[in-house]
Amino acid sequence: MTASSGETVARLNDVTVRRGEVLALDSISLEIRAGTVDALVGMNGAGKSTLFAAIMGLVPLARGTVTVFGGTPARARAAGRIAFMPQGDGIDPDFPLAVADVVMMGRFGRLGITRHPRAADHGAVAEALDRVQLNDLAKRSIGTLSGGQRKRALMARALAQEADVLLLDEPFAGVDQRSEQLIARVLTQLAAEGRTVVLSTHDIASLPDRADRVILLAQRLITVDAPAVALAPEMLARAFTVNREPQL
Amino acid sequence: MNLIDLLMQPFSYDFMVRAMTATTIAAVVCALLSCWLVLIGWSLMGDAVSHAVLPGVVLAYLVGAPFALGALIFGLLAVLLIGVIRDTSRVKEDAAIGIVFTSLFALGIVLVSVVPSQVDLSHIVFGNVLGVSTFDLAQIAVLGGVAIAVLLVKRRDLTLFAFDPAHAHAIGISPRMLSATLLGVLALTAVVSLQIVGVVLVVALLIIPGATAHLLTDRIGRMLVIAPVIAASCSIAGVYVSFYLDIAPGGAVVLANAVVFTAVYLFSPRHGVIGRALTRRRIIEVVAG
Repeated sequence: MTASSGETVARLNDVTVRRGEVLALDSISLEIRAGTVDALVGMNGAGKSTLFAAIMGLVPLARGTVTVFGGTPARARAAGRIAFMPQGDGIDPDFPLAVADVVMMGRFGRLGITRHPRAADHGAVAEALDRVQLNDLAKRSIGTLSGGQRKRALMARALAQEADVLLLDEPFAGVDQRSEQLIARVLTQLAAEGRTVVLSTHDIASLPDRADRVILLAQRLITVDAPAVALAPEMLARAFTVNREPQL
Repeated sequence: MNLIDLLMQPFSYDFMVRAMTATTIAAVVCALLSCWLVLIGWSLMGDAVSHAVLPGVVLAYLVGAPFALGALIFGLLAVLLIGVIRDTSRVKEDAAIGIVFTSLFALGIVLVSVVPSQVDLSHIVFGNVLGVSTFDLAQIAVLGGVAIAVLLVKRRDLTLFAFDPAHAHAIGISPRMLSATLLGVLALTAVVSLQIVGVVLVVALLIIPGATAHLLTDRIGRMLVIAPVIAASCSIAGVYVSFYLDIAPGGAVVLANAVVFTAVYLFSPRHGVIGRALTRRRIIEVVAG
């Protein structure tokens, strides 16, 4: 069941994560609401991937709490309510899978012990491929796709999951213009459907058209606001020139 | 002697029937598993587990337990130790594998040298397929059946784990559990294959069929059919050849697999070295008109 637009779907309270000696996230408090597109912006190493991991409950917290739909992130994941789209750099181009097989993996959480897909699952996969315009390439090997097509295939996998919250790691990085426009259009549609999108990006210029809010991050939270406010020069200066020495 | 007689003669001996059946079961189990091992890059893990079972076999003999039980315990112990060393030190996985399997294999050799027993080291190291008893065959069939059942039931999860363990984690499927399942089946498979080709050559059956199938198809589903078919055919061919040429059956089975791999490596239409060159040439000819 999709949350009502504006309803809080995830709440981070004083979230602090340490990776060895390094402080990866420092006391982040944040609410993510349904039907919005939030963009995570920050330097490499600012904690964007760690924040995704924290929302999914995949990283131990040194301090603080994360709740998703009022429960633990693990419960939300097990219920299939959070989908994650990785950057896709780690995909083995020789892996013997068709594009449709990869997208079907988005349905696995809903299937029985053998993960045998039913007609409804094939339907969901076809619909997801249709949304990212990859139907014609459904039977192609995943390794033969271009960077942009591969990104769209991973997006289709996240869509096939029919999750309420989609976390997208650099969806616009290294994609062709057509793929970029397609992905941006799908994000708008998802928000209109009441789904929640959180994406990380370095493409600041396009954010006013693509995101409702910008979450500016530099291990700690610089600001969360509308793009016009959050991307003001003084804010960006704080995010991109902040002292990044490990704070213990 | 006509061809039919030639083909049927080995079957007039009970030990040959048992050898053929046991080898085929072990080859099919190994081949199925090998598909995921080569895709994940765990070929060395197969080597490690198959060697590490040696002390388990010797100790099982000492206490009068089934060899399979001792081997299974030490196979799982090896997997556990590799994981512990990898996760709790800066030693990388390949080094951890090397340390654990050579140490356990050495322990096995030492045990064999000090324990007065009828355990023939050469049978464990190189296999003794012609000595497979009815009890051994039943044991191989049961353990092999369990391994095949687990692999087939969990095949989609294992493919997900091999392709993108992070996605498995993100949708609530434990990669750790799938890893443990695969390694548990690997230990079971090493036990099944121990008597057929011995610990040294088990790794061949755990790598070559999967690698061969990967050169022939771009779909995991087809790999899971091609690899066992190739492995079973090579097993039967190997045992036949060993019967007529009076050579070691374990070695003959592995060599048959190696011959098929070489042919596929060279001539596979899409991924063979010569196959690819011919395709390129045809494209150039078409482009040049």
